[in-house]
Amino acid sequence: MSYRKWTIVVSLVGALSIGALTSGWQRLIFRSLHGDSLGTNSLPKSESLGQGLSLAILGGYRSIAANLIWLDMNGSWEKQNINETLAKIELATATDPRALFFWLNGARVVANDMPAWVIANQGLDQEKHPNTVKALNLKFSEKALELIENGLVAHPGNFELMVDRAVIHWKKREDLEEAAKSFLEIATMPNSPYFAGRLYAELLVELGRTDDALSYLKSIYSSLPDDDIQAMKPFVAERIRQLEIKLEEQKVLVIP
Amino acid sequence: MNEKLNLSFWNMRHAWLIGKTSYLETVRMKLFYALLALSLFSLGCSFLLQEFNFGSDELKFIMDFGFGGMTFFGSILAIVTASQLFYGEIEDRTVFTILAKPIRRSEFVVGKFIGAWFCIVSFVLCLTLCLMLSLFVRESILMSQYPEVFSEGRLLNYLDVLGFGFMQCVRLGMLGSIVILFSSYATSSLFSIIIGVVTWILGQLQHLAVNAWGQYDSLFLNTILFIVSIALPNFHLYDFGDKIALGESASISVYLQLVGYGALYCALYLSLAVLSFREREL
Repeated sequence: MSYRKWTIVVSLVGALSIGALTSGWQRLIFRSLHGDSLGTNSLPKSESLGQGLSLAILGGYRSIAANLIWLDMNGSWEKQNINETLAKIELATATDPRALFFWLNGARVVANDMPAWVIANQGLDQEKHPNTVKALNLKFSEKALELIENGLVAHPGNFELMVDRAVIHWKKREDLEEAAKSFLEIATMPNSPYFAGRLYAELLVELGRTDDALSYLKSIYSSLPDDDIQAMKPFVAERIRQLEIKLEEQKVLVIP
Repeated sequence: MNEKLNLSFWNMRHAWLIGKTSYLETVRMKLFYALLALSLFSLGCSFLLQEFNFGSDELKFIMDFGFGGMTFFGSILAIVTASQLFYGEIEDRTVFTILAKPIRRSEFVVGKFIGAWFCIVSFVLCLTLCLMLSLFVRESILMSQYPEVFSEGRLLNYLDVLGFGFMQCVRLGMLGSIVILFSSYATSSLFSIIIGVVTWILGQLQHLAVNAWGQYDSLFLNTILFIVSIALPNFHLYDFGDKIALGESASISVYLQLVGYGALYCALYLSLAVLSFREREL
């Protein structure tokens, strides 16, 4: 065997043997550093490759690169150019997935601004073209939800992203069932904001499940702190009373 | 008698002397100063570009610039110096004068690695100290402006910043040893530099190859993924700057494991480089 071939074979065998021996060790070190988080591995392949490449090449500089892309995105946003804006939002989030700002604001731009641009450009009217407007909202909210889901991979259990997901289901898709499910998911997490539980109950009322809303509010009432204004304990007590009255009235109406 | 013994056995002193000379050679290179100046300039820019920062807090932004300089410019330095130190001697034919003396080829390979690694350490150390100073100054200013935020003292652990710097030396040492392996085999320095850059990027993406392996129908693609996932070291393990920026610390055991992992790969690549260079006709 020639010198060159011999060198390649020996190098490859050596590298493969050490790699096979250390693969378990690598996983152990990774777990010690990052816990069981999957990181970019649970993203679609193209996105995880994009994020991996930006990290590989730019390292710490990816934050400034992402900031510059975001600045550039503002120009496209002003021109109301949907494709360019969307591409730059995706590029900014792929370049620096650690910045929550890009995920949150990107999803808001997609869900709220983009359908409004199309509606304005096509001269559509909510009253005259309700189906078209609804279809547009659904189309863009789908994309916004996709962005939020990817954001949640980078920021697992982030309340702000989860609240935005619930709001998109509620206001843009008018899917109260999914919105309620999302708010319940937030409310059951430790240290979650108090308003998530209250909104869950209100959505149940809107869905016609007043008794479920009442029992839910009663179940959380005792756990609400008295001294935290954000918990709004007196408001919850008042709402429980109102729902009890409402249920009583419904019973009276049913009995005759 | 002693000289005879020195000739027959592997001599660390020889490697050390070659390393020392090589180190002095590298720190006199314009590239070293150019990369150091660029890194320090970018660190300085982190103060000026605060208004362009949307996604993170101020100290993290500064830290990103410092860590970015270490990994980005540090990788360029590791690849170029390792290639120049090793292959430069072959190209300039100075290797003949060195090997004409009672010096083994293995001592030459290890010596060149020592020289390259000390150059990397000097670069990273300069940057780490400047980064720590910048962070300290900025944090002190913020502490006086917002004492309520810093009621429990400083937010950053400066020892972790130093630890991260040292881990980058280990990572860049691995990269340098790979470039030396390719240089021991290559017929041009450009080849070893290009292969070094490709290995740097693939090593960063190795963890993605591990997950993607076996998920494709193409045998060719799966073979490539298998080779990348097993044959290359996982450079991504050393990317824990985000944790430090968030005020989290890595344990001593993790630091030791990362050093051990890096040392193992350096030893492997240098052994392969010695084997390859021993057989090479100059």
